[in-house]
Amino acid sequence: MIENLLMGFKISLSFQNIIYCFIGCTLGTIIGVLPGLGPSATIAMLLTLTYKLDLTSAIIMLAGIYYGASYGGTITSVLINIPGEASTVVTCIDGYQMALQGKAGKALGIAAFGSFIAGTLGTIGLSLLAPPLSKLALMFGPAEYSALMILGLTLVIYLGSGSPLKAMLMGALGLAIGTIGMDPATAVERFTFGSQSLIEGVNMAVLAMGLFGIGEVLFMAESSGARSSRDSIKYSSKLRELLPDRNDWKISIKPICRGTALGFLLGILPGGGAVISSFASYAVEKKVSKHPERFGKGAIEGVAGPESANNSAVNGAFIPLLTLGIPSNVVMALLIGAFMLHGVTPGPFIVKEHPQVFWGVITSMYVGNVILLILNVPLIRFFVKIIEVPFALLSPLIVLICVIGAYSLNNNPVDIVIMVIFGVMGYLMRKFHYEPAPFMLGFVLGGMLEKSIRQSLVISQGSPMIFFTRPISMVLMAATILMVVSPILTASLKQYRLGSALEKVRKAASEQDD
Amino acid sequence: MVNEKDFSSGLFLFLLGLFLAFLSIRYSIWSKFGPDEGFFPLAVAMIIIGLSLIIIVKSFFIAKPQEKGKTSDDKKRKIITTLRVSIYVILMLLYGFMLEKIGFLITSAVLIFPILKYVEKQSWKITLLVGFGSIITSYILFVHFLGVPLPRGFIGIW
Repeated sequence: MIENLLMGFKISLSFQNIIYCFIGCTLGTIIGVLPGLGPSATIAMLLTLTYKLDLTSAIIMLAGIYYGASYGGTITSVLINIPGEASTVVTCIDGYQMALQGKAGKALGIAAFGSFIAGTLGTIGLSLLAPPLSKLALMFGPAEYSALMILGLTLVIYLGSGSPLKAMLMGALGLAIGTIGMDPATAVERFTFGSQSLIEGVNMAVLAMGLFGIGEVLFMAESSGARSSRDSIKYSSKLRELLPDRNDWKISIKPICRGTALGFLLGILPGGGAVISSFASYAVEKKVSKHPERFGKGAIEGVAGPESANNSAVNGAFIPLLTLGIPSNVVMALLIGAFMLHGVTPGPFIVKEHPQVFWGVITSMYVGNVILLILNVPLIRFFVKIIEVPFALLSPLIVLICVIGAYSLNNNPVDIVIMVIFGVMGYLMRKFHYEPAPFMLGFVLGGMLEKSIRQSLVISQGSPMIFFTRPISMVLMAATILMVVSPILTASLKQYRLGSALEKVRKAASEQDD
Repeated sequence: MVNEKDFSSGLFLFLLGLFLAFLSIRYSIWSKFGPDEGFFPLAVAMIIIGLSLIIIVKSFFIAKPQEKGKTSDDKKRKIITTLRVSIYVILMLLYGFMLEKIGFLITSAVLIFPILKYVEKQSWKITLLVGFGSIITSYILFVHFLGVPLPRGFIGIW
């Protein structure tokens, strides 16, 4: 283990990888600062650019974008009450209140230090847990994989922010798009309509660029004419004023530790991730606080806890990706795309077959956290300036990078057309309140899920009971069923209680009349 | 009152599900060894049909929030936003069709300059500055840094 970590550090501390980690972290912070453009759109846009890079450097850079974005999102949440990232929405509540009270520096400081501590502890957790879990993953057969993927999709659907019904529908649509191309078992062409470009299936990078990059640009194009000016808050970027004092540390250290643990655990769960963990941490802090009335009025622990949670969740999310090859959220699904562009399938064998990638990526996160701390504390003033760049100037550049990126994958202009089609689809999804994330996850998991379900059914000679008789898959399927059934049961129970209460009121009223 | 957005999207997805189911049953669903190539798409199509039906039915019962009467300004804004999005889409599709014939430089200019000048309403100075900046940056990035052979088209430059 120590030998492997040393090997990883040797790789991640090479000049080239430090530069890529720095680029990723800086880019991540910038896009985190820019409201609207998230890590999914950026990673999707840059997927094709990583094609020429060495795989380890590519993943190090893309991972840097991911965790850099959660650092960057905090800056806008605190200073202008606009979350740059979904995972920093909750930081607005107390962070902005602190800024109004003239404590913006402290809010940003504790967020940066909390994120650093959480990111570092999360990376240690990842280093310790990933290798044994990848050994455990070798015990998984097709039935267990199927059950895990179904659970993952269900979790993404139920823990998402919109309507679960619509999310489920998008997940299914993603699975359907994933079936386009040659059937892996029988080599029959499916839904290609005679197009040569579709025989290999829809390219993941093309789909991601369309759905997230172009979809976002089109959605922003609608509103860019009607944007209001933003009020910003005066703050000092003097280092001393950014450093939390002893009292701040005393209040914040426990929330940071709790947030780290909670975020890491929720990050591991498929569908968990940074957004839910930040909300969960805020709820926990409010619950355990002796003065819950301070929350919402500038409580520093309301910033420290969620900021730590969203950063350690990022580390946790790497565990299912690196050990099982299953993405727990949409960014991880895009990282699978980067692995596949280089001909590597992430999963339990990655530790043995590509140890330099596995340990290089893990140790780069230690380096990345140091880079982010260095970037975030003194360069806050610079990042705040970025907020002022209008989207109208960014969108043509995003469009150009996406169209050339799509073309460069196979030197095929049809890919541009396919990307535009998915771009329009992404735009319509946002307009009609359908989430694109379950669609993307469904698409990524589609091929794997179909393969493992078919293998399981061949093994069981067509009996679906295979999913309910093997111990691991049985537990996973039970969890899935529980998740689907519990909201329906709760709603029915509420309706029943409401009905009986109404009945009682009616009875009482008729008795009074009598 | 019907929730129009949910009804129309549900109906579209329902028809899409039916189409997918129709295409799936043309493949073999089950063989003596187990599920075949049509099995999974058919199962997914059934899920899409079922879920979209629920959305359609729900759209009749869950009323959308009351909208104030639409003014002529609202209608005008809607037309403008639809136009903005349509121009983006048309220019990008044109890019796909023209790139190999006309080459990277001119096609990129045809994409970027109208967006900046007429959609994003920038001044000529900014349009030229950002437009050329974007084209040169992406050229350096893709051709020199990544070694992507971008088409030169019939003119023979870039």
